[in-house]
Amino acid sequence: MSILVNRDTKVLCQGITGHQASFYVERAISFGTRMVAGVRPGKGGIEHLGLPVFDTVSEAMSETGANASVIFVPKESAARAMIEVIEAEIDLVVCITEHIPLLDMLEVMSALQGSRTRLIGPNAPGIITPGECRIGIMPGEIFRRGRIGIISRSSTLTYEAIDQTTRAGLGQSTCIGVGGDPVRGLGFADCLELFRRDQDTDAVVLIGEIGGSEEEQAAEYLEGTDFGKPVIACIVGENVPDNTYMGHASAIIRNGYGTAQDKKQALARAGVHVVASPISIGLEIGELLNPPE
Amino acid sequence: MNIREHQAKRLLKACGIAIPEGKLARTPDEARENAARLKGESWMVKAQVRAGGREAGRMPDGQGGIRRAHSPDEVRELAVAMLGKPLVTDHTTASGKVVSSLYIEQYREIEKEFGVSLTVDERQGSVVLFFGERGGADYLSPTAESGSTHRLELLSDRSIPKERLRSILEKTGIDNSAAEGLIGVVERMAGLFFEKDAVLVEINPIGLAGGAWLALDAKMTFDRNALFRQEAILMLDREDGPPEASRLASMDGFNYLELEGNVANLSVGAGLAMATMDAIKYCGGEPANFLDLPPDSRVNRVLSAIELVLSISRAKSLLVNVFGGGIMRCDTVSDALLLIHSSRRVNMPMAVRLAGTNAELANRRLRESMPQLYLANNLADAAKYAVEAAGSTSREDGRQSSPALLARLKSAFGI
Repeated sequence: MSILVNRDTKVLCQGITGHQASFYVERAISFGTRMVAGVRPGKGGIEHLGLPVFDTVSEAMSETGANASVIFVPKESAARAMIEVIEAEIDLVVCITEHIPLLDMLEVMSALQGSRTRLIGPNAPGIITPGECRIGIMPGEIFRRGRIGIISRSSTLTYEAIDQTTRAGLGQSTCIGVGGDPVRGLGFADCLELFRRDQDTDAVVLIGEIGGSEEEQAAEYLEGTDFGKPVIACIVGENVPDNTYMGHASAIIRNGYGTAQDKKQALARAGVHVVASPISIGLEIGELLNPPE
Repeated sequence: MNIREHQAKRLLKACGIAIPEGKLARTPDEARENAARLKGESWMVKAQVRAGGREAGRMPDGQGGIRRAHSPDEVRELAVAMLGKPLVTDHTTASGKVVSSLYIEQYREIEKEFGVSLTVDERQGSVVLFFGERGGADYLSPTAESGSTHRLELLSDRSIPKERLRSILEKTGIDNSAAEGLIGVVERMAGLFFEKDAVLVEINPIGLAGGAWLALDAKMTFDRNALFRQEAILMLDREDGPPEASRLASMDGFNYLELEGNVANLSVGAGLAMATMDAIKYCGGEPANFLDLPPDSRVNRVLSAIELVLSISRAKSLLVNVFGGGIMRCDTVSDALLLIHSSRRVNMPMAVRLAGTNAELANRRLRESMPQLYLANNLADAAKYAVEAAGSTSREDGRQSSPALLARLKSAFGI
């Protein structure tokens, strides 16, 4: 088991004919992901990377049975692509596109409300269940099947955390990069709840950073829940000078809110083991789950 | 993206919201002339910087960034004292922002004032309206009297909740026509907000003068991601000199900030860049910079980033930490390092940690051609080498980890 994606997940790609999309769809196929279709308005009927291409998401879904989508559509029309796939009632959509206007995202959020769709992203590296399904842009070679769930905001730091757990001899059940934008689909707390219910996840690693309120919300969720599994967190950015914009739209410290210290304290109060440094993630998880004699 | 007060007021005026008459001045003489042309008995002299808290801020003469003058000559005197000088507020750095222009405005007597703003609640993913029964510095501040600030959700069709606003206004003691006038102002603000891709439109204070509402001060922030469809806003950013720069210089498409330490470093992605700085600090060193390359960088950009960090005069060592993934491949980084190696002699000790996509290929190339590099296995290893090579140790501070953990890390990583 795993969360959100597994070997039965059938994936379509919106914007499949683009350069980036082509690159990742090929890699996903070689990883073993069940890629079933592409969508590109105006290109319906062609074949790309061995996959049938459709004009609309609903056609692609009814013809191929796709139940998940990955979006590589440019920022100008990415919101429209998300709304189309939400209205087509897909189970899961992962939006890789970054720099989507905020007001466009607000429209996506109202389309999401009350729908059956779960959104990961935008500006997200994606989701992977090792050995079964990879949706997005994470490098494939760092994973190992196992029983740790990983939730992260930043892309490259996600890879670092995954790599350290793998090197510590611990594999992953599912890894999710929720994305770095201020308005997004699934958050830390949502992912924690999914991992809590997953019988094949023994522990969860949260990789957070300064700015925003994901970590504080995760702490709130954990305080009010009998989670039943160890949660380990790494929060980066404590050495970033105050008020400096660090490239992530959300990594802005506002009046002392969202600092690394605030987040670490909130999580520690909620019973989370907070690691001392980003270099010790693997080591500390290893020790926590397999205490030295 | 923030704009200046006079620009925000121009946008308000264009959508039918009244503002006091005012004119921008860049020299003391121009300031005096502006005051003489604008009718009235006294004038406001307002520093045009893109930061809040101007009134309570401080300039070198001990006064704030918003002042009142009672004659055109006094306007000129104030302009002499303010132009070219830094203004430090709660929203600026300690060195403040240099005032290069002043907005000279008619002073208006106000019968009643409120604060009103529209902004995005990121957590909820919705647009909210704040209405403060007290305008001015108290508005939305934590010390504001509880119950005097109201939070109202916009309706699903993006219109303002008129009924709720009306019932709040009824209790403030203003008459019906003033209340309807204010509702009209808020509707226009909402129109502007959505039309221009704003993330904040604030009028504080908004004052009642002779039965009409006047925007006495205004702040606006726009969504940088939407500038591709907001040409007029983009033009505002470039008006009056260079575009808004954050403290983090955006150079050649990457984010860069120089710091106090001597361990230069370079990473791909903001999260990993922050982790790299934390790792340097954790190993007892001080980062010389923050540098975050976007994952779509090609060899040229990586090359100029490496050149930049090598040029930091304080730097004693360099740590390159890249996790290939996305469209970033490690061989792009090794190619850039090899290009530098072939063009000049680099004496600075370098620890290079490459992992992820094409790491093996990249490491092999570097091992063959640049044996002087320290090719690290992991971030801990790389950070430890770079810190030792720089010969720096930071002061023991409260953030260091427990002695027990440190001992375990020492045995695991040889730190």
